[in-house]
This record gives sequence, structure tokens and C-alpha cells, in this order.
Amino acid sequence: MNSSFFLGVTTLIYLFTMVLYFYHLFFKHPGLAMAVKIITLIGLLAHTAGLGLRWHESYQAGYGHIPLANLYETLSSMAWCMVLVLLIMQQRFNTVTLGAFVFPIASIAMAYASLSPNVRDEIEPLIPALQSNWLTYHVLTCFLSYAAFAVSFGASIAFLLKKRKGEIREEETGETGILPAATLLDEVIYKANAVGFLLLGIGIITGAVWANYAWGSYWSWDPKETWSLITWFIYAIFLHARLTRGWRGTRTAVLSIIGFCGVIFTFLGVNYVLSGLHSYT
Amino acid sequence: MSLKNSFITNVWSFFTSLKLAIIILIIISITSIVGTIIPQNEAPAVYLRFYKPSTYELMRLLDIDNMYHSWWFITLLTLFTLNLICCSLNRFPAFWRMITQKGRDLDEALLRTLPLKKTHRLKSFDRQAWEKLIGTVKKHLPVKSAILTPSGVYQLFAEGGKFSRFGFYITHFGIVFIIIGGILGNLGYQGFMQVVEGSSNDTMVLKGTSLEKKLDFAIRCDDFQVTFYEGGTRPKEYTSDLTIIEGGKEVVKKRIKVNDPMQYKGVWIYQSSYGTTSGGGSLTLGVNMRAAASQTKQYQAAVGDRFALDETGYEVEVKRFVPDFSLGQNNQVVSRSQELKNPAAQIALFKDGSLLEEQWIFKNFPDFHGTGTGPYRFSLLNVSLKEYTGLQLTRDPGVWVVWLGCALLCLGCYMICFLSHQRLWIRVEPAQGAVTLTMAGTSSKNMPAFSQTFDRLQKQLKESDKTGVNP
Repeated sequence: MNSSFFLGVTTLIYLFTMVLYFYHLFFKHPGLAMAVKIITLIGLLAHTAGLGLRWHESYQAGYGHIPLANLYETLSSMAWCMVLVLLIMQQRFNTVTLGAFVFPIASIAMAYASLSPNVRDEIEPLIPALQSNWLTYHVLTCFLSYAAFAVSFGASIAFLLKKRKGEIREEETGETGILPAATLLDEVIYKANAVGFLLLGIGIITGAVWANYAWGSYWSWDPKETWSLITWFIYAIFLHARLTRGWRGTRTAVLSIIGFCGVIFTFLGVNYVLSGLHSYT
Repeated sequence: MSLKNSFITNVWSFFTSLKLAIIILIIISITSIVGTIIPQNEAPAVYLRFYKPSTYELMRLLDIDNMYHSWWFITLLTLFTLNLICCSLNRFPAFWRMITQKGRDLDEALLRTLPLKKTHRLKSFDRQAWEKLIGTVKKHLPVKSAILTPSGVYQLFAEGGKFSRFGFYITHFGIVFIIIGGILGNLGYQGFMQVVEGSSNDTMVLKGTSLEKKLDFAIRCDDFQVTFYEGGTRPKEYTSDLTIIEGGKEVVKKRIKVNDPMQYKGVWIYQSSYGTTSGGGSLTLGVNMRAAASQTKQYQAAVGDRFALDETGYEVEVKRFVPDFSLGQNNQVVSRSQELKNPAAQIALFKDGSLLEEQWIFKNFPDFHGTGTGPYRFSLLNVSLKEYTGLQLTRDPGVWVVWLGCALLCLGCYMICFLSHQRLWIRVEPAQGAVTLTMAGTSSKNMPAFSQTFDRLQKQLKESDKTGVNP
């Protein structure tokens, strides 16, 4: 059993779990929530085993690097971060319904990485510019922040759907209809964005420290840097609106969605549309 | 006079408004996008390939080809910094009041402003019960004052996480530090230097210019190496063995590689590129008469050399050398890499000073003698070219200020987002026959969590009254 086996199994489990999350959204059978949680956890364990084995295999191939070297590995690691953060958030806020809005992003990323012919899945060596421990710190903090933003994005979508259905009332508690309570969604949006904001800040800073160590310049306005800064600004605006101006609900949900568009563009758009220092990721 | 005052007030409130901060952030974000779409700091030809000359003129006028250092972008950043500082100053009085505030008794006016409040009746209350109550509160929040007023009313004030209020200042000072560090960085320099293997160099070319700058020391390259991954052409590592020479003496020796630079006297030295020099090395050419193929004569020549073959007026010039011959667009000869993978030389044959023919000869294909038809055949027998290592040199006196700013920024963000200033008041009023306990509280952030603590505390106080035992 090699890494490809585990990652393949992970993809299947994730696609199945995604269906379960949707099923749970509409038909809340007793016990189903727990089952969904456990299956997600099993998927995450298989994923962890797959990535760990791949790391090990890269040493056997004579390269020896964390699986963050090409698009296949970055997509897979990003999905791993998302599922991990989602599980923590679901536990913390005691809701499984949220997963229906977040989990599909992770499973689609995983399925795209595994199934698309555009994504090569061989283990490749690391070019000299990337051979540094900073790669791990930088990419991991960035990906964890993306994962937190994905959770807030999912919660924002759920919030706007709820609003559209006219389910939002004053002083509402508990689940009404099929969606989580508005106050809970609002709290998830804020918490996830706060965590993501801090992590993205640390991610940008570790990137700057690394760039300074490898190239002698901590900031060079390359497209990826600039877009990550723009994304960070959007979430900074969110935090000011919420903490200083007391914005709640719809307006902050819309800001989170705009922020997540920034995340997507920073992660994928820059590589496909623009070029720069990060062109090899 | 009052008109003038109101003008100043208006300007001040404009500079201190969050609205301005948000507007500047949005403008900076949107204009930054331009620089990610339009390539920066390229040669005019690159832009003229995509834009009309008139458009390019306009772009030059607005510094769009170097927008992150343009006057208008710097102005935006300056405005942003000023706004940040003004906002911080503006909030200072309220902040200072909050920090230095002593515990205040819970009265009706204060009660009205607090979001969490609950009242319940107690069966009995005395000094002992008061001590017990203080003990219970202490489990949740540090008690700052607990007194019995002359009018017989018990007053308690507890608070925690007051220092989280500093998060605002720590974050914003962090950003200001980063900007100051960036400005200080302009006092340093970034340059590039080529050092040929076995020789030394002490002069670099400053980045983005053709200006030269001399260092106080020289750098000698003892060896340059490229290693490849097993069975492939993918480079694994570029290393240079460098020696710093100062005042004619060898001071430091270090092997640097990509991601592992060295530092000497505040100057960081990075492995940046490498290549082969056309100067300094030499090519060995083999020449024989087409008619008498056996007699090969050897010549040593460098690029640009021209020499006579015999007394009959034939001359040869080495026009060009490429280490890795390939044909690019429009069959232009290009070098695919800087490694000696397919070394080739272009030579020209002259008769009595006029050009007869030009041809390429290859070291890897000794039986191919070029496309010439003249009386001589040429071959490239040997190439001894020197490799050079490309070093980037950086001096940045502001970098530590930037790192300090980054650390403050992270700490401040953490304090703002995850810590909160929680305050709690309790008042116990014994009146005829009945005792009323009023508790009230507020939290600067995360009200749901504090409200849970608040409810739990009230439950404990109620139970303590029922059982008379400290829970």
C-alpha cells in the first residue's frame, strides 16, 4: 500500500462524505451527525497516512521533501488543512450542518487533484530555490489560513441562503429549518476570519523572512505577494467593520465572500493568469 | 475664528476617521492589482510590444511600469501611515481613561450602560456570606475591589484581560514600524556581481541601474559547482566556495548555496546565478586543408580573435561562442543553458580581408566540419571556459525594524481577536427583610462566551445562598 492508494481512498471517502453532508442537511436523522463526523475523521486519517507516506516515498526517491512541491501536492495538502480546520470548528461550535457548505470545497480540490489530467501526480524533486525549512512554515500557515477562510466562506453562504429564505428573526437561538442559527453562523464567520487573518499575516511574514534569507529582499511586490496582501486587506476591512463599526450579518457575510474570492485568486488565479517568483508552485 | 476652528476640526476628524482608512486600503488594493497585471521594471521594448507608443508614454508619465515606487503610490502609503498615527492619537484619551480607571461602584447610571445584568433575592446575607461570594467570583475573574460602603451596601468589582486593550496600539505600531523599516531600507543597497572562478571582484552593479559600487572588501570565488538529481538534468544545488579578502588578507571562507547565504560586515551575499564567461577562456580550433585531411593544425583562440592561417591571405575570426547550442525562434542561434552541454563556435573565414563564409562548428560533433565550402575545414577540439558565479549583495539597515514590526503586528492581532477585557460588578443591598443581589457585566469582545460565564456565576451564587455552603 503506497501513498497513491491512500490518497485515492481518501478521494473516494471525501466524495461519499460530501454526499452524506448534503443528506444530513435535508434529513436530520438522529445519529447521522455523529456518523458524518466519524467518517470525516476516518477520511482525514487516510489523508494523513497518504501525505505522510508520500513524504516518506520522496526520501526513497532521493529528493526528501514535504509534499508541497507541485500542484497535486499543494491541492492535496490544502484539502487536508481544510478538513482539519472544519472538524475543529464543527466540534467547537457543535454543528455538523456547516460541513455541507465547506466540505465540498475540500473534496472537489481533492478530486480535481486526483482525477484531472492537467495535474501531474509524480513525486518531483524540489528546485534549489525551494529547499528550505521555511517552505513548510510558510506554506502550512498560508494553507491553514485559507482553510479558515473557506469555513467562513461556507458559513457566509449559509447565512445569505438563510436570509433569502426569510428565516432570520430577532433573538433566534437553536437550529430552525435546515440551516444553523444565524447567531451561530455570524459567530463562526467572525471567529474563522479572525483565525484566518492572524494565520495569513504569519504566512505573509514567514514568506517575507524566507524571501529575505533566500533572495535578500523581504518584499518585492511580485503578484502572489501583492494578491496575498490585498486578501489580507479585505479581511482587515472585515475586522474593522465588525469590531469598530459593529457590522453584523449580511454585510459581513458579503465581505467574507469577497475575501474568499481574493483567497482563490491568490492561490490559483495568480499561477494561471499572472506570473512571478511563485510561478513554480 | 470659529470657522477656522471648525475647519481644523473637520480636517482632523477626516484624518482620524476609520472611513478614510478603509477608503485608502481599498484604493491601495485596487491600484496594486494594476502592478500584478502589467509587468514591472521591464525594458521599453517589452511594453511597446503590447501597447501603442502613446499609451506607453502615458504609462511612463504615471510610472505604471514601476508603480510600487511611483510618487502617487508612495503618497497613498504615506497617507495611510498618517491616518494610522492620527487614529491612534485620537483614541488615546479614551484608551488612557479605560486603562487607569479605578473600580467604580455599581449605581443605576452605570447599570443602564451594561449589556449583562441580573438580579435575584437572597434569604440572608452577612459578612461571612460576603467573603464566600468574593471567593466564588475569584474563580472566574480577578477581584479588584470589594467593600462595604457606609450605607451598608456591599460593592464588588472584578476584571480580567485589561491588557488586551493594548492590542489596538501594538498592532498599529507594528504596521508603522514595518513602514519605517521599509524607509530605512532605502539607506542600504542591492547589487549584483560576477566573480569568475579563481579570481576575485570587489565592484558590484547596483540593482536597476548601471551604477557601480565598490565594497571595502573583495570576494574571491574558489569553486563553483552545480549538482544534479540522480539520473536527470534537474539541478539540485548551486554552490560557490567564497573567500572574503580584506586588506590583502583572507578573512573568511564559506560555501554558499541557494537558500544559504553568508554575511560579512552587514552585507549579505547570496548565490543568485551563474554562467560561463566568453572572456578569459579559450577555444582550441583544429584546421586542416580540405585537400590534405591528415595534417591538422591546432590554434588557441578566444572570442573576437582573428588570426592568419598561412601566407596566402586566409584569415579566421572566432565570432561567437555558445555553451549550449540550440535554434530558437526564426532559426536564431541561442544558448539553451549556461552549461557546456553542446558547445559551439561560429567562425568566419576571410580572404585578403573580405569575408568568404561563416559557419558553426560543434565540439560534440567532430565529424561535422561546418557548412563551409572553402579550402579549409574547421573543428572545435577543446573548450576551456571559465565559469562565473553570480552573487547578489544586499545591505538593509531597516530589516530588523521590519521584523520587530511584524512581531508586534502578530502579537497585537492575537490580542485583538482572541483576548477580551471582561468586567463584572456585584452589589448586595440588605433592606428590611430582603436582600437583593444585582450583578452586571460587560466584555469588550466575545460576548456569548462571557455571558455563559456570567450565567454560571449567578447560578453558583444562588446555590451558595440556598445551601449556605461554598460551592
